[in-house]
Amino acid sequence: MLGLLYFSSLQGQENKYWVFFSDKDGTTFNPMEYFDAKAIERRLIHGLNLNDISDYPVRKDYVKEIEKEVNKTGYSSRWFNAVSVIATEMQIHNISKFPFVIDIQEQIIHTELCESLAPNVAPNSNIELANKQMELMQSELFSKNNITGKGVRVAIFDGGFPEVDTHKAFEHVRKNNRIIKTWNFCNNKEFVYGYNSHGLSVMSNICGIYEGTQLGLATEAEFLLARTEVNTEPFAEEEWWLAAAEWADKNGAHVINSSLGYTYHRYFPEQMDGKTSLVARAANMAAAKGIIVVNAMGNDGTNSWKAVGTPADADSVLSVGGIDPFTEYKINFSSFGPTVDGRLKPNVTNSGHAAVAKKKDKLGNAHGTSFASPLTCGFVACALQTMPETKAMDMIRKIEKSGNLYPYYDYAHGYGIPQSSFFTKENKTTSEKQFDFIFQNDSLIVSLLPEETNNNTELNKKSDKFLYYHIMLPDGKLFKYGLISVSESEPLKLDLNEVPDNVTVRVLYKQYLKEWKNIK
Amino acid sequence: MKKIILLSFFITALICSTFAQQTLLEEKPENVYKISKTGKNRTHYTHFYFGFGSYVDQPETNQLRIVPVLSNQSSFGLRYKLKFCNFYAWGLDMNWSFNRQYIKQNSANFFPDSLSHKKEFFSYHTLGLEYYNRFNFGKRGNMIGKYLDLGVWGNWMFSSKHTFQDTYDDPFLGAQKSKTTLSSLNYTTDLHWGVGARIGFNRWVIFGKYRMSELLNSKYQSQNIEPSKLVVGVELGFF
Repeated sequence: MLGLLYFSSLQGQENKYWVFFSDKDGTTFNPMEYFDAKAIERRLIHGLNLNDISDYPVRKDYVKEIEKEVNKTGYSSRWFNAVSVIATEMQIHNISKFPFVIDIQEQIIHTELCESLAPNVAPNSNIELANKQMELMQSELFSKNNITGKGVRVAIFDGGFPEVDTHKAFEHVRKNNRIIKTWNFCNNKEFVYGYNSHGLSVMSNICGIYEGTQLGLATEAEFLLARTEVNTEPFAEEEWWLAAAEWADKNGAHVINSSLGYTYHRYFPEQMDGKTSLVARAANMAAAKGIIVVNAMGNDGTNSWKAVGTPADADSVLSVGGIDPFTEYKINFSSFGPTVDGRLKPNVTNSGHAAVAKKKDKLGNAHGTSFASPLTCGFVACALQTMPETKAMDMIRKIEKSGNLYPYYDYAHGYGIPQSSFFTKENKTTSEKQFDFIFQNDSLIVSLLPEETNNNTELNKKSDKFLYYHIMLPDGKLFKYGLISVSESEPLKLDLNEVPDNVTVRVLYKQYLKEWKNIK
Repeated sequence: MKKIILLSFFITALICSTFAQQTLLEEKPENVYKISKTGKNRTHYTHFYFGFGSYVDQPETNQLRIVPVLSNQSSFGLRYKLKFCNFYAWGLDMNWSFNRQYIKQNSANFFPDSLSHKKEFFSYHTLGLEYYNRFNFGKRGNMIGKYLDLGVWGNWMFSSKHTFQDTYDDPFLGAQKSKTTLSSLNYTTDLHWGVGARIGFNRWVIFGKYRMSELLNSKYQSQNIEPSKLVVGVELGFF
């Protein structure tokens, strides 16, 4: 009886789906009316057609036909020529027979905000932490050159923005009316200044200034705030993410910050290929429209998932991992790359423990790649100010090049922490030779040269105690990588019998990079 | 002297280990996507669970009536699932359960005799094994998801007791309570079997179990006296 009841309930059970249409024949579109001036400007910079078919509206007659069959229709996506519906399996079966329906896909219903539950163990004050997170990106160089993200429009997708309209950390933003638009996609209204405080903290790491202490770099950027997630328990729907991306595009966003990820609720790690999930495809579409999507890697580094989430797995997304600001290497929870098809992720890293604005006008701190992402987003906005004509993908490559480890990379740190000096054209100190390779009994040994006193502050950073190494296969994918805190004259010994043929071993120590090729 | 040498050795070792070179990270990317055979929605999955259910009263034709809701079953078990496809899996369940059925005191009660008591209950422990078929619904990642289990189970009753509670007036001490417990009962059967169903969403489960065999021996079977056969309740999976 119980089984029969359950079976019958499942037959009538509603789910959320995307229904994709075959064409947009007969629809009209006026880009000058539809797009904000900044969106048009961005399209011109990227050489995009203003009359692109992907920006045309969905055919209303198709949506009306669908409405007759299902219980409820939702957002109509121009980019994917699709409508979101709530329907039973029987209704979906009926819809699939329409000649103009080319595909139907069930929607993701669980997402996670990338804030970690890791305990706050840092004894350091929040001010010290704020200064550290800024210092890691060489914020003083941007400040010195008056680079503050001015004129760059940033869209933030999050669970809510309580007190952003009153909090002292955003006084400078409000004073100059730089919150351009807001939209609550979950409730279809403008008000976003409530709900989950995650967005308050995230935004502070892009542009916040708390009692004179800078929390993010882009203090003069403009903002589009989109509430796309529901509940403090991280649940949301990709419909809102996609809707917000199209809204951000229409309203002229240059950068999107999205501190969320979809993982085990709907996917397996082996599906993190940047193509399987609709949000990854949406993020790639946003990039194709010239928007730089900055996304958190996820906080699954210590659990069984371990890998990058989606949409951080997307090819055109700038995925950001987390480091501990005081040890300056990977923070334990930050998810690992690469993508399942071996593409480099994270692209860069940033502080995964950050001083942030908290409710009741307070300053606090929080853990998660959720905060590494907006810190990087602020950096991207500043970088764009210096090179406003740069195309989105070119800018992502430049951000990678600005990483403190570049050209070295690995799947925990990417190219490292973006450095302002790359964009302010400050002379980067080149490191002198620090070590040699020695070969002994089928082993490759890294032998450090005798140390000389070096007063150059850039070479005396904490991270310069670290020796990074990777073993790279001929196709550029890494076979193995590691990080050693150096205290001996021969910090690394690799048994070459355990290394495949035709690999390249690269070692980075005190900004000195040396490689050895094992060509057979 | 020996102690001092030993202490010096440990201190030196401690100092060396404090300043020793440290591998902070060493990863092979192939480990990130190593496909595991075990997991909530992988080939094999095993987890513990705790269940609590209430017995449902029998039809009026049964001479033994129980107090529903109060009569309950607590269980603890280990459940194994073998996945064949996204829709179908089968599994085995090993469990211990404690059951207590409160018997209504009325004129029709002849179990184990016709005496009426303040409170009377029949309790027993079982060890059980269940085979079940699982039907999963909807797309999901590495999650248990929504499912329906249909299974058949067998139990061995390894302990049973029958307890009577009464009150009486003692001429010297006033109102008193008495409790009598019978164990090693000679009117129960040891082995039982039945069918069960579960509907679940991740760790939350609603279950129903129906005992097909008799709990009491032939003497009571002929009198149509049998404790409740149906228990419904909830389970919580420990993942």
